[in-house]
Amino acid sequence: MQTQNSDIILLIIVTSIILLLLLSFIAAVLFLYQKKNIVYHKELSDVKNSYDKNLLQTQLEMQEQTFQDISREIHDNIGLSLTLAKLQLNTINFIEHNSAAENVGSSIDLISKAIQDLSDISKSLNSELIKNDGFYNTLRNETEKICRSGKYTIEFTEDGNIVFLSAHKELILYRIAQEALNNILKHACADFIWIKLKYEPSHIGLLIRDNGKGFDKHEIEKYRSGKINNGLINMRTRALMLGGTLAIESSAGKGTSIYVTAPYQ
Amino acid sequence: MVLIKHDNLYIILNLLMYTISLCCFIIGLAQHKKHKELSHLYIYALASFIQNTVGEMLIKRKIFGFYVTTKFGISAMHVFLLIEFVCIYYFFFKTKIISDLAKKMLVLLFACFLCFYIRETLTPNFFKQVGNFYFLDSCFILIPCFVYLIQLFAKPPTLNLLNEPSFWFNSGILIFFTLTLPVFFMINYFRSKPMLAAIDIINFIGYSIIFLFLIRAYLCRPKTAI
Repeated sequence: MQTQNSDIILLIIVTSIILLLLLSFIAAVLFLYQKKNIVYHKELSDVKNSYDKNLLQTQLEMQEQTFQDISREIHDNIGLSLTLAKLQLNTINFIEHNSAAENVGSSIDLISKAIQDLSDISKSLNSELIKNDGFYNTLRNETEKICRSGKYTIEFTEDGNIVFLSAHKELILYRIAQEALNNILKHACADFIWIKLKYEPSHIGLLIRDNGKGFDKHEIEKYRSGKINNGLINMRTRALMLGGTLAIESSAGKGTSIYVTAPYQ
Repeated sequence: MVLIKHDNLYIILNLLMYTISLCCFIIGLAQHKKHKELSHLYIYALASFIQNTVGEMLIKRKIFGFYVTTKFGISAMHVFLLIEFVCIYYFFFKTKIISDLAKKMLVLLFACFLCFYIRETLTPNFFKQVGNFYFLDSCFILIPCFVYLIQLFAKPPTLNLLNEPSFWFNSGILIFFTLTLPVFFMINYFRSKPMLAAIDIINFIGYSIIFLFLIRAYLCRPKTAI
């Protein structure tokens, strides 16, 4: 009986030790996990801070670029029109009525053009326009405006039911489209532009393609490696800000296509 | 003298386990809708309560002596074992911590255990003893417990474990089955020395812990979707 009791006591002691070890194990698991959790959240916070910093930097770059665009637009178009108008008005010969009338008419045209250019700049920079009309309508208006110049033919198609993104996202997407279209107008030497909007279940896809001169493999590699800092990089940064992607395909003489995706959420 | 102390211990722990399992059943019934993975586990607490009541009534005991068991008593234990196994595996199937691939492996384990269970019901030993069954049951349940812990650490640590119901219940299972595994492994040794009541004491402690952890799991704040 004594042996039996000692066996029982031993069993209880062993069980208590195992129990204590197990409870310690659970406590250790909890402690380790919480520690890992703190490190993870710190890393997450660092990534978020870095992202916010990049975002701010990108926004400043975008702002800087916008100022440059305004400056160039004023200098190249509005300034030129107003200078010509001033020149014509200065050289009016009031004795020759016909010539004076012609000069005044021409000056009025130039001033009207300057006013129209100013209005266009104002519209293209006004984010309220996107908020009110939405990305789809604003892009459509932009393409119609380009078509009216008579130099380009644009084929605008959409696929799927229109989905509205948040105003902030629509503005960024619109700026990407603007940048792509500006690049075509300035550098591509194209006369045909295809714009396709595809509303997928989870994201919106925007394809802008032209039949211009394109650019070579070397330049694309530079872009991919992030060695160049131009409009393409800005477009890529903006796409990243949307949580989406940007793909560029181009080859010399065969045009360029840009495909942007932006998730709805 | 020692015997009397152990006798008291047996009764106290048995009563403690009864109380905890009953509390767990009541809390589980009230809270089962709050946590998806625990929604069915109040049945486990109820089954444990019933099995112990039935066991106490149908198994005549001689404290620290030999059992005189009836076929019905052993069958009640076997039925409880099956309910326990199904409830715990169902919990692991529902928990989000375990990946789909691991869940497929668990289905295989579940099927193996069921095959073994069915095969055992056809043997004459089925109505005589439960020890081997307990051992196998413990082994089969401990595997998903460790899989849970491994996968918990493999994923990004986004959870607040103190408020994670599945963690608490998994911990309860882990403690109970790890505690009883060596005991059931040496069941024949304990049978040779009339110490089966001591095993019951360990069982009572283990079940008290498991149901305490389950109560803790039920009392975790439900997560609100953002």
